[in-house]
Amino acid sequence: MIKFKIVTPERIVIEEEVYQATLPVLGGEVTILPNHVPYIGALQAGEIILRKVAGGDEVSLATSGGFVEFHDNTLSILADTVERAEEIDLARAEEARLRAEALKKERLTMDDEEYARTAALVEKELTRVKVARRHRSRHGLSIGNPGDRPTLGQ
Amino acid sequence: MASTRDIRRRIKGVKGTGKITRAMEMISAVKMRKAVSSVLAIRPYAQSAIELLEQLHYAVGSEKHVLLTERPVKKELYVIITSNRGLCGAFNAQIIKRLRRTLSEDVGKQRVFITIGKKGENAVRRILAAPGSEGDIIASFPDVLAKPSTEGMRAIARLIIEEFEAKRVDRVVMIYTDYISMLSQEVKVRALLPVAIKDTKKAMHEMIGREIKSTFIEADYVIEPSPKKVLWQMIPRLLEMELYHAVLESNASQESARMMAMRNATDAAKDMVADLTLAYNQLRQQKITQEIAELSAGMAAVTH
Repeated sequence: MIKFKIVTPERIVIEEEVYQATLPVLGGEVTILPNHVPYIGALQAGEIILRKVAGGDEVSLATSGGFVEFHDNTLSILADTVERAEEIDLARAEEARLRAEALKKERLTMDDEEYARTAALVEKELTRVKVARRHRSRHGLSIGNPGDRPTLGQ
Repeated sequence: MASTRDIRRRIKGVKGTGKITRAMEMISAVKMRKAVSSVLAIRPYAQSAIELLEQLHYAVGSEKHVLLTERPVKKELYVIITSNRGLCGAFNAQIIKRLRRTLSEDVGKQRVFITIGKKGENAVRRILAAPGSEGDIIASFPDVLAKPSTEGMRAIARLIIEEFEAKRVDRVVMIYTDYISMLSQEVKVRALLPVAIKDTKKAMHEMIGREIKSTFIEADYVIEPSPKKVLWQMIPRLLEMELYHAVLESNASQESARMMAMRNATDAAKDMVADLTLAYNQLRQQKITQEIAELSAGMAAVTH
């Protein structure tokens, strides 16, 4: 088993034992299983997927980026922001995403820095919506139209 | 001489003010506790971050990134953390005093400012308005104080890094108030850029607790995409964390200063009510005595 924890400067989001963790690292995905070699990596915005037991249920979280460090079966994630699927209110996440996209369109004239910030916001909100949807669908709740997932280039 | 009615009115007014200052004291106590607990909540992150930093620093070795490289200082950027509101004793005045001292010690350099907090912004404007002083406020972030978050700090960290990378400034210094205890706060001046990893580690150790123990883990890490890339990506995050930490410390200090100021005001109001009540009773007694004297004098005139 892996001792797993996610910390942000604001709080400890999760601290528990897991069997495997799949992480969105720069340029791809990494799945960490027990006795993985010591590993350090940078995360990008995406989904962290955990399994508590081999072949068991998945738990997913949305992150906007951060770092991962693994040694001696201890996995620490230093995240910028993290939300657990069940914490994300789908309606609110969707609303925030729309707001972020509107902001992006509105500010076509904005400078690069502003644009980068807004684009990062859109990406973060997209991940939140995605994670919330997956969580809902797995728990048999109606979620409107799951095939109609928004993409960044819309 | 004031009439009894005037004194009564003043007692009422002072009592009302005392109630308000008492309420403000209690609000500040709550906010202070919140800020202090947020400061403590950074610890697990800081602990993991320093372990990571040790590894990366070891793997990268002495290779220098632009954010780590010192250069001759022609222009400095000051980040001033104060409060948005007053009524907090000497909290803002101390920061400004320290800023003035630092500025006067360190002449012959150009300066620009980023202010976090309206009080600091106004004070810096006054300093800049004085004849013979040069400089500019390049940005003001009064909104991040109310609900500090690392996300709120991101824009500030990015701006600082951009200014430094574009060589518009050669050094970035932060002035903030460090919360030591409810009774004592200390103004601190800390260099943010160029990053000195040694100082960053020290600052992080201070966040975790005071004792410094080795956090280097002996393990043969696979670092992806490369130690350098991870470290360069980490430095902005560490800056964000430091800013976030400084804002929380500053908020805790601000609220405890306000709490003390309000407690003093409440005590002063109590004393004043006591004094006024005494004066009121004396005046009332005097009046009664006088009335009795007049009455008995009148009686004496009639009966004799």
